[in-house]
Order: sequence, then structure tokens, then C-alpha cells
Amino acid sequence: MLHLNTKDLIDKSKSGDRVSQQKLYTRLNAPMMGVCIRYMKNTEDAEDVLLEGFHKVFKNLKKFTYENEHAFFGWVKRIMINEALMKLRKNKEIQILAINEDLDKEVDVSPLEELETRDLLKLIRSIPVGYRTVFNLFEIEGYSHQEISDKLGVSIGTSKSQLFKAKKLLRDHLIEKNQDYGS
Amino acid sequence: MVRSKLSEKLDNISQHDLGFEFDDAAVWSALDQRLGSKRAYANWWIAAACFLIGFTILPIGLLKETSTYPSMITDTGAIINDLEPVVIEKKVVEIPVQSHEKRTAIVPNRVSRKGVSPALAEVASVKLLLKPIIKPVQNERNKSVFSSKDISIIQASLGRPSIEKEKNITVRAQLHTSSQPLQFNNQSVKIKLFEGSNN
Repeated sequence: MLHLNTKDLIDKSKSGDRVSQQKLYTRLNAPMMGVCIRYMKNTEDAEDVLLEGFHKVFKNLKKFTYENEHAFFGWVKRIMINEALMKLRKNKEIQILAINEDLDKEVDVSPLEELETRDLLKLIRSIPVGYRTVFNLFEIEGYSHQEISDKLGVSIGTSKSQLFKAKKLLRDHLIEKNQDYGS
Repeated sequence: MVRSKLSEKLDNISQHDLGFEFDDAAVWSALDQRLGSKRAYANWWIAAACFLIGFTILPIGLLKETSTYPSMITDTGAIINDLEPVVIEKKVVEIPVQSHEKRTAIVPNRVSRKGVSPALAEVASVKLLLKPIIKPVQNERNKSVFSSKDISIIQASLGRPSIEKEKNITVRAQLHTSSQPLQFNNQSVKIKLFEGSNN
């Protein structure tokens, strides 16, 4: 994640030091691109979100009070997520479809944790944007259904149904993948 | 927000793990440009504001420095027609004025002849240097720009403490244009003199 002298870099970046801003960007661009690409359809959109996000980060950095690296990383990540959701809304890419399935059925996605980061990302990107948005927000970012419903402007039930479908698709893809490896 | 194992894994993703090439240098370049352009834009506005302030404030300041206070030339020849000219030559006028800082001076030579008739030009002048309560307005005629105390001084300098009631009299007021005592701008100012107004 972040390494040495992050606070110094942040302090210097706050005063507009471009070299420090670039160093901060270099440290954060890969994980933040990872965040953006999880939400966006393609790399071009993800780059746009990354650019907008970092622009907001540096613009609002003075308002940020440094506590620790983890908090800073979380702050930057939230900016990226909000930017991504904004872009999805703008492009009307979040298609929330009603699903008539038994939502009480639990879909186990714990095998995902065993995947390599690269494969995990690839798998998440393989499901439709609407499903993966809710999956990202709930399973990875840790938002509640209430928070997701507020963020996306959908009902809690819709959020739950999208998550259910996302998990089901991921499980199916995972099974396919394992079968491919097995064969 | 609770941090999951998936989140931990994805937060530590490297560029290699992304699974695609993205031009981070190009993104930084665009970002650098945007951050820089904002600053340049702000600098441009600051420069423009300074320029505007410079052009509006400075001339006012300069004007205040040059036109400090008027001096009065009571040119006896300029008095209304029915009055006899009173020639006061090299006479220091000493009139106590409470609210004015009175300075007296004798113009050793003739005053500037610009805009003065030949007859008036021959008349010697007494110069009263007064700091008026009311500042004279340049080039604004037919307006009393002197206080009653100033007028009483003018009257006294003319040797006529009382002039016809509300009679208009044209005097040449001079405005200092520099700190040099003898550099003036002649300017005619019409004032009204009031009978017995030497309070």
C-alpha cells in the first residue's frame, strides 16, 4: 500500500509541491486503478475516473487531516469510488434489474479469497456492471445495503437482489474456471 | 465499512496484477496539466486584479499628492466692475483664522499671465495660502468653494471688509500643483461675498 514518508509527501503536496504530488500519485495509481477498473466497463473509462479522482484528491488535500496511512488510503479510495459511481450514473451504465429469485439463499463466494489478485480482478470484471457495482460496494468496500441504496438510489431489496445475482454469477464463473483447469 | 479479505487483497494490487497496461505517465501528464492550468488561471486573475487596482488607485493617489490645497490670488483687477481696484504690493497679509492654517506669502513677481487680460496682468498680486475647509473643485465654475472665513480673508486682503450683499466676485484661485511654493495653476473661481461676513 503506502510506504515511508507518506505524511511528508501529503504535507508537501498540500502546499502544491508538484514533485511530492507526483510521488504520491506514483504510489497510489496502481491500487486506485484497481478500484476504478472494478467499477468501470473499460480501461479508458477507468483512466478518466482515475484522473478525475486524483484531481479531486489534490484539490481537497488541504481539507484532509492526516491520522495514518490506512485512513489516507481509505479517503483516496472513497473519492475514486464516488467518481466511478458518478461516471456510471452519467453514462447510465448501472442497469438495475428486478430479480425474482429466492434472496434468502446464501451463495458462498469464499473460494474467491483463494484466487490470485489478478484472477480475482478478472473474475469481478467478467460480470455485468450493475451486479458488480453492488458486489464491489457490499463485499469489497464493506458498505451496508442501506448505504448502497442511498448511494445508488435503489431500494434495499434491489441492492440485495443485485448482490445475490452477482454472487451467483461469480460462483458459476468460478466453477467454469475450475472445470477448465481440471480438464 | 468493514475491510474484507477481498478488499485487503485488491488494495495491494500491483500494476502487473491489473492484467492490462495503462499509461500512468499519460494520466499524470494530464493531471499535472490540469493542476498547473488551475494555478496559471489563478495567477492570471491575480495579475489582472493587480493591474486594475494599479490603474484605478494609483492615479487617485497621485492626484491627492499634487493638489494639496489652494492658494488664493485676490487679483484686484478682477473685482467686479464698480469697485476700484485695490493694489496691494508686497504686503504680507496677516489675518488670524482659527480653523485654518493660514500661510502668507508675497508673490515677488507677477503671477502667471495665462488666461489673464493685459490689464489684470499688470496688477500686482497678493497671494494668500489657505487650507480651505471645503476643497475647491477644479474647473467647476459658479460655485462657492470657500468658506465664509476664507471669504473674510479675501475681503480683508482687498481692503474692503464689506462688499455688496451677495455680490458675485471673480477671483483667481490657484491650486498648488507641487510642493514648490510658486508653482500654481491659475483658475478662475466665482464666489459670492456676503456683507459683513468676517466671522
